[in-house]
Amino acid sequence: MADANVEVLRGTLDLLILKALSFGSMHGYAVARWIEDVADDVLRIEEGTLYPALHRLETKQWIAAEWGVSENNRRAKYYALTPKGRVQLKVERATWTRFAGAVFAALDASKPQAT
Amino acid sequence: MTKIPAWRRYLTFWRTNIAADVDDELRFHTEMRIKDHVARGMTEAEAQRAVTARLGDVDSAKAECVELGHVRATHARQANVIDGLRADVRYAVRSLGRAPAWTAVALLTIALGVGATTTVFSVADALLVRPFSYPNASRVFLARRQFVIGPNTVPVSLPFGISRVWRERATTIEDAALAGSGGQGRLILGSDTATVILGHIDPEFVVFAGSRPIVGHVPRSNEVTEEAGMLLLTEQFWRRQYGASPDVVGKTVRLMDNSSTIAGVLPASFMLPDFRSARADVFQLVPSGAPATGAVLVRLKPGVSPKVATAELEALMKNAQLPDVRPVPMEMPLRLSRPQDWLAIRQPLVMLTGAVGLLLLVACTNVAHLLLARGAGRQRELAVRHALGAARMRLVRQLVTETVVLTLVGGVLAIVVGWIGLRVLGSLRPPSFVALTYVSNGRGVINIAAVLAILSGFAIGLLAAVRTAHRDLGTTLRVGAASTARTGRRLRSSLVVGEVALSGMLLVGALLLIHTLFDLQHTELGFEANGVYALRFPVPRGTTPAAHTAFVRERASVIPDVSGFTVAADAPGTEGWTMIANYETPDHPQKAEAATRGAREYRVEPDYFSFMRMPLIAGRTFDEGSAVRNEVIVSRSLAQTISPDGNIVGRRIRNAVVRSRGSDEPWQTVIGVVPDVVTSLVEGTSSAGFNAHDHGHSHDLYRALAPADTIGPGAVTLIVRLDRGDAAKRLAQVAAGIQTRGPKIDVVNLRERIERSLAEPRFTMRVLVVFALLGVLLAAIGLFGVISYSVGQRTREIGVRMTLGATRRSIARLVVGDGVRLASIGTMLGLIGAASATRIIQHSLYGVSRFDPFSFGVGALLLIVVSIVACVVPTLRATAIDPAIAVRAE
Repeated sequence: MADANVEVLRGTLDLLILKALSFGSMHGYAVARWIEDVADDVLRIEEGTLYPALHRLETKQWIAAEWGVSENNRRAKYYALTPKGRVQLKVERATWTRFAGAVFAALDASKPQAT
Repeated sequence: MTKIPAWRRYLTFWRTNIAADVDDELRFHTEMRIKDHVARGMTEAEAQRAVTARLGDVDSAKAECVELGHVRATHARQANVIDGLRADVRYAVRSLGRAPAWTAVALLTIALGVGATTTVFSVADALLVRPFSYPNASRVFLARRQFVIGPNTVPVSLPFGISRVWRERATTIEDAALAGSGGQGRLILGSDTATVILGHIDPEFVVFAGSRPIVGHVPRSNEVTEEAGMLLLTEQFWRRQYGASPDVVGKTVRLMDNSSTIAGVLPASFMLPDFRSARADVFQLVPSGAPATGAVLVRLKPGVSPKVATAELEALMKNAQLPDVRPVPMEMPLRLSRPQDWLAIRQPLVMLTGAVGLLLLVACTNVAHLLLARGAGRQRELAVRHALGAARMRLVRQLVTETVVLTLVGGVLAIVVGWIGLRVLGSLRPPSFVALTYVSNGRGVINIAAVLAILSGFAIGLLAAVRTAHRDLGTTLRVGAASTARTGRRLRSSLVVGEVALSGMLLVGALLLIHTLFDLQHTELGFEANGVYALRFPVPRGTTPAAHTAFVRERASVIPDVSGFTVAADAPGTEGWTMIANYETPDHPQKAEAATRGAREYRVEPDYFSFMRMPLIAGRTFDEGSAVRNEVIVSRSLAQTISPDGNIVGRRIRNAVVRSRGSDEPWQTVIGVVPDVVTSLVEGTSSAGFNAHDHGHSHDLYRALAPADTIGPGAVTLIVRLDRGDAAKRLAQVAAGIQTRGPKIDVVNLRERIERSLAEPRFTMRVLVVFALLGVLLAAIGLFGVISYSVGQRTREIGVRMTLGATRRSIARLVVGDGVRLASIGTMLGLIGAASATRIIQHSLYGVSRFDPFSFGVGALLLIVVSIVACVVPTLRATAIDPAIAVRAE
């Protein structure tokens, strides 16, 4: 199972965080769980990378943070998408789609003709 | 704990506990993960292990998070400050908007004070502070020769070629060059004709002024000769007239019937050292030795004093034996002066700069007053806010913000006022104040207004804000405003007294000038000038003056609607001969050097006096033989000067100055005395540079126009009296009929021409009136501020008085009495100040005493009336106090 785990690339992680928060505000653990759930445990998150990423996005003001109370009545930091972040999500998504498209196109290409 | 929005509290929290928060966040994550694992059936210990394995490098992650947290905290702090400022500004605007009348008065005060100062400072800056941008301008001097007649100095041209001698031989100077303005001329290039203002410079002056042509070149000194004229255009003229075409360089043009070549174009910054002439369009290059009447500029070597340089230059001038223009048997010392010292309006400008500076101070004081008066009313508001937890610093900051907003808006208005001021000044400008056209009115105004507004803001803020907030706000809340009322009351009163005094001084000055002008306009001219016009016709080549006189006479006799005409060499008020004169009689010889003034000489026909309606005071008038018999008629003042005993008719006189020059000056017999003719309503120097007239006393000498005058005048002046005003246009047509070729003949209305001399005093008067009114307005605002403040303070006292039976009338008397008392003290001081300060304008008060009771009386009256008016609003407020409410108020 460990072999199948892919180290999530940094830029991709940002995109996934933004996507996760587009459903509403959630705490860091919920973000991690959502990514794991939707990606069928293929994209496993290292906590060591998730939190710096969250804080980085917060510093960029793409997401905003607020302390709240969790389901189990514990103090937890909740993140939410800012308007700026919402715009960024669209941009990153488009970039990613184009990138992926380009990679697929390359993989499906036939042998180059000798010139 | 102060009340601040939730998000800010959160930020404050962050700032202190960033590391703890990161720990907590990660701990929460771990806890949740373990709980999930346990829920899926792991034991607590297994779960703990699984989680730790997954966490990776926790420490570096934590460190990164903490660092990012610090970055955010810093941003937040900055945002906090900006937000606070924005809130302060919003609060200030709102609180200013709540008192629109108050705000309007305060803004008006700032705008007028700063605006007026900006106008005057712009002028002073351009003309006094940085007038000429020559390299090492501090060492540049104008070398002039002059002789002294009594109180007047008369500039005399320097010998031809002196600048070259100085440049080549003098050891105390670095450089010398010649530059001067040179009237108007007609420049013809192909089919294009332009009237241009001329200047003349020698080629060296371009380098002297630190300039270089933008197109073409400056010819070398030896390329410039009398025959081959060379011209340099100014950039402005080149753009305006020739659309900045580089092709004009090298073209041959005709300038005043001589052919010249355009050598180049000088940049717009190039300037003659002369504010008294209009900006030149075209410069004629003159050879260094040319007989030009311009001034010679010298640049002293560093460390050389003007005195040392003067001595050397004067010695060189004497030894050089150069051809001289005007060999007069008098000492003509050389003087070095700074170019801007020759500025005619220097004195009034310095005076005005001082006055306007004081005015600005008054304006600032006023605004501070207004803020104080308002602050008094807001004591409770501030105290309540302080009690509710607003820090003192925060309250001070808010008051300062209010002042800053007020000053900024006022400053913007001041730029507009300053700009309008310059425009107004420009339009009031008498023709002689050419200097004002050199004042730029763009960026300079904005810069000066900005600096002044900022300085005023500081002054106002310091005076008002600190005072208001510095009080013990707790005490205010407990005992009410009354206890703090006495603080600074004396200071405020004395400031208002000072304002009234200052405006009183300005007012008296303005009234003195108004009185003077009124008198001047009603001066007896010595002849009946209404409807009299003079037309001056140059005698054409090939004609004798006598023949031309006859011709003009013949043509004039057919002009319709003319009630009479006479022919003379010149007419009063137009250009004519003014001689340096000292008349002697055979038994009282005079020394030429003792000449103290000039005498105006007229050559007239026998019917001149009856035509001008000048009564003969003694003796008889000219007849046909007068010219041959050397008979003259003198004015009353001249008669008095020559023979104080009153017996002048029949005496023989001659001019000792002319005699001493060696020319053949015959004795002349005085046959009559006529009134003095006023040709200038103010003391002034004639075109020759010295006085022929004091106010109303003129030295005039009349000779008979000789029938066969061959050496006589170069021009014939036709003097015409018209019945109807609209005839001037017809006269111009007649003039064109007589003079078919050459320049257009000017038709001069004598009364208008003589009253033109009033342009300068009128200008000074208008400017002073504007400033005086401004001063009075500001004083009134100041008084209004102080009285309003005191009424506000005494609400309770007034209430008590009314309860005890005081009528509204007696309350009104109480308030107005307060104001009038302050105004009276101020007025008294102002009048005393004026009595001494009017010395500055004494020389502009022709005949009016500087202790003129009219001016002082009207000034005092006006100030008292204005001060009563200023008290109206506070009085109404005081009498409208409802005793029942007032007594309970605090």
